[in-house]
Amino acid sequence: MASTHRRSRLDRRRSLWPFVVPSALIIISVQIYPLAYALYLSFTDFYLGAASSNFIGLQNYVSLLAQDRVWSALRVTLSLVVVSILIEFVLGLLLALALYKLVRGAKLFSTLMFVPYLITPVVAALFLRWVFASRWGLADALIASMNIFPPDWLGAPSWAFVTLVVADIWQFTPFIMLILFAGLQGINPSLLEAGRIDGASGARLVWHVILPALRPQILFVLAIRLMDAFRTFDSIYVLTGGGPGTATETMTLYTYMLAFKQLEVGRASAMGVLTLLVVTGLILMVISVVYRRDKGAF
Amino acid sequence: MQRTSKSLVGRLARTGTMLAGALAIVMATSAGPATAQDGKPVRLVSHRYPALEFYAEKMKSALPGVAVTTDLMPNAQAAELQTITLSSGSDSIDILWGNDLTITNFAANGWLEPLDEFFEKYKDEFKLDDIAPAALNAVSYNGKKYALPILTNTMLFAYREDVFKDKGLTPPATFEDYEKAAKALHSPAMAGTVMTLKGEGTMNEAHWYLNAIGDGWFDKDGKPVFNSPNGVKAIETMKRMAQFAPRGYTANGNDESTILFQQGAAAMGLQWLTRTGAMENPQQSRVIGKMNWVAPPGGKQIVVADSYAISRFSSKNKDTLFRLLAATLSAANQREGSDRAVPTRISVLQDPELQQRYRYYRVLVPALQNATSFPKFPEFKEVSELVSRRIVQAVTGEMPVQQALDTGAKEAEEFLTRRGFYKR
Repeated sequence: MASTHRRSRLDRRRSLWPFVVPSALIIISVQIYPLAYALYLSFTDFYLGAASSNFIGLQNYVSLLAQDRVWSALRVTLSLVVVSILIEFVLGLLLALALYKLVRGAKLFSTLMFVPYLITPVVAALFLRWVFASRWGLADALIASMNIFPPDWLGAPSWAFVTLVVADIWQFTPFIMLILFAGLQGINPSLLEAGRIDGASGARLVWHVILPALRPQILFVLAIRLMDAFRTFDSIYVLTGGGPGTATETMTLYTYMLAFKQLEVGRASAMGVLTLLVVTGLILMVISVVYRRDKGAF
Repeated sequence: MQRTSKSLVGRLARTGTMLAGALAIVMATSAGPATAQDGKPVRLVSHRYPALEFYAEKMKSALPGVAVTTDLMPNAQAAELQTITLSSGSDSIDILWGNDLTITNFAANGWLEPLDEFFEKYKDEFKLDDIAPAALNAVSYNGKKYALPILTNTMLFAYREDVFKDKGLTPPATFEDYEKAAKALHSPAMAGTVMTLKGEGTMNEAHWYLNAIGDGWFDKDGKPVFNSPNGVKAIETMKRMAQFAPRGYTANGNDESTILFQQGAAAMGLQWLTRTGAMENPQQSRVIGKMNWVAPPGGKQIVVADSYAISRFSSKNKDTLFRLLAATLSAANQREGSDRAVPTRISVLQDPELQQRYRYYRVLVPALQNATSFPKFPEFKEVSELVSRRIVQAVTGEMPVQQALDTGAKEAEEFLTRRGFYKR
């Protein structure tokens, strides 16, 4: 009886295999295979145009880690990610709270504020390029109309960085706002009421009641934005091209330069693997910080 | 009920198996070799500026019965698309625009069709002996011709004649004159000089300084000399001149610098010869008749030859593709396009009517006589990416000049060593 039951369970499992195969094939072909191939290439000296390639072990990694340019790219990437996400998170939370408080028009406002996120990043970057263009850009015109001499938005190293942060904030704050707003709507009103009865209001209510209740959404937006911000390419490529010099060159930009300007595919693959490791490390860190009191939540 | 559920699972399982099979077949076939594309139009991938737009348009009707589609885009994007396509051995590009750097690089990689056989076969039909030998030399690598030269392009020194007259200045003949004039004319409304340091623009601009003041890029053994004492002096001069450049000069490409001149927002600076015509365009320019050109102070500015090459991987008939190119670059077309670029055919260059018609023709000969091309080794294209970043860091003050150039030299040498350049 037991063996019949087991066989029937095995038959049933076997009959489910065909459902798994298509997705497995797709995942293998578009994710596992490219990743494995990139990993393989990272151990070779392959460059575009080379007749053949040689296995060189960890040489690509060693020489990349010895390059100032890689560390500079890592510094720029981390600065860009930390500054952008921090501001986006604060702004997104404030906007979400404001929308939550709004009695009427919340849907309309959230839709309007979500528009920048809906624009294709390249198009948004091209639009911003004209906003920040020297002399004839919108930002210059606005500042000059107030009799202030505008800064060199894209040409000066420090301002180019600020411009990229502004561009990122403009485009991605709505995403954070929307997720947190959705989270706020899921909070049990009795929790807030209980907080108020206990004497909490304003910032204390946000800190002690709302933020803990929003932890799953916070983790989600931070993890998604962290991955997104790390691989940001389009807007930087269009706005500054990583310049001036290497002032705004991120890890993805440098990977691109290695692959398509210097044609060093082996090194570019190693750089990609290093980026993957850094992002994974950071996401694990975010998870451990946000869930430090609930060990085992993941 | 259970039976119904079992049979439903069974049916779904069968459908799933069939779908999986179909997907596997689709994936297997799509992963196979590229199919021949005969019957499809010839595809040109090219950089975009007025002269190239003109020739791309001419190509569409150059040979009866040969349909052509053209994809024109900025320089960097065109080169990237070409590199990715050719390195994968794809036949999706038939004809490609190239310059000295890309043609040498692509030819060395074996991605271009050698054209000597076709030159010999069609020299009478298309009067190919009329093409200037210097232009043919620019598209040759290891003694073989790999492209048909479209135009010779160099940088002239553009200046606002009216503004210079108002200030009692004469066009600069030396770098000292250039600096003095830029200082005298620089104001919030008008930049003393344009500087084009976006992407490859850095190499063009630095090429002039490094060759006129410094010792060039590399010595005869391929060792970097751009960081020599004279090279440092050259880039320090460039850094001083950057004080008089418009805001955003490091993000300015040729398009932006052209607009600055057209809008009357720049007093002088290097300008590609192919951009001079845009100054006289009534729909775009506010400075019609106000611009003039001289040979750049100190000479040694960049000279390039833009050309059309045939992809080795094209599935089209190469004979037809060559005839298409030769017909596109006929003497008649070059004469018609002479207002946008310097032709490569001797008969057109020597046309007295053209010499009289175009103002820049009179400075063209002295400018070309002193111009120099980029070092001609295949890896220079890749090396230039490393070095140009360091030059911008030096010019913007992100790094001291000597340190930036030394870093660039070290990186360039490491790169060339890795590629086996010094063992050849």
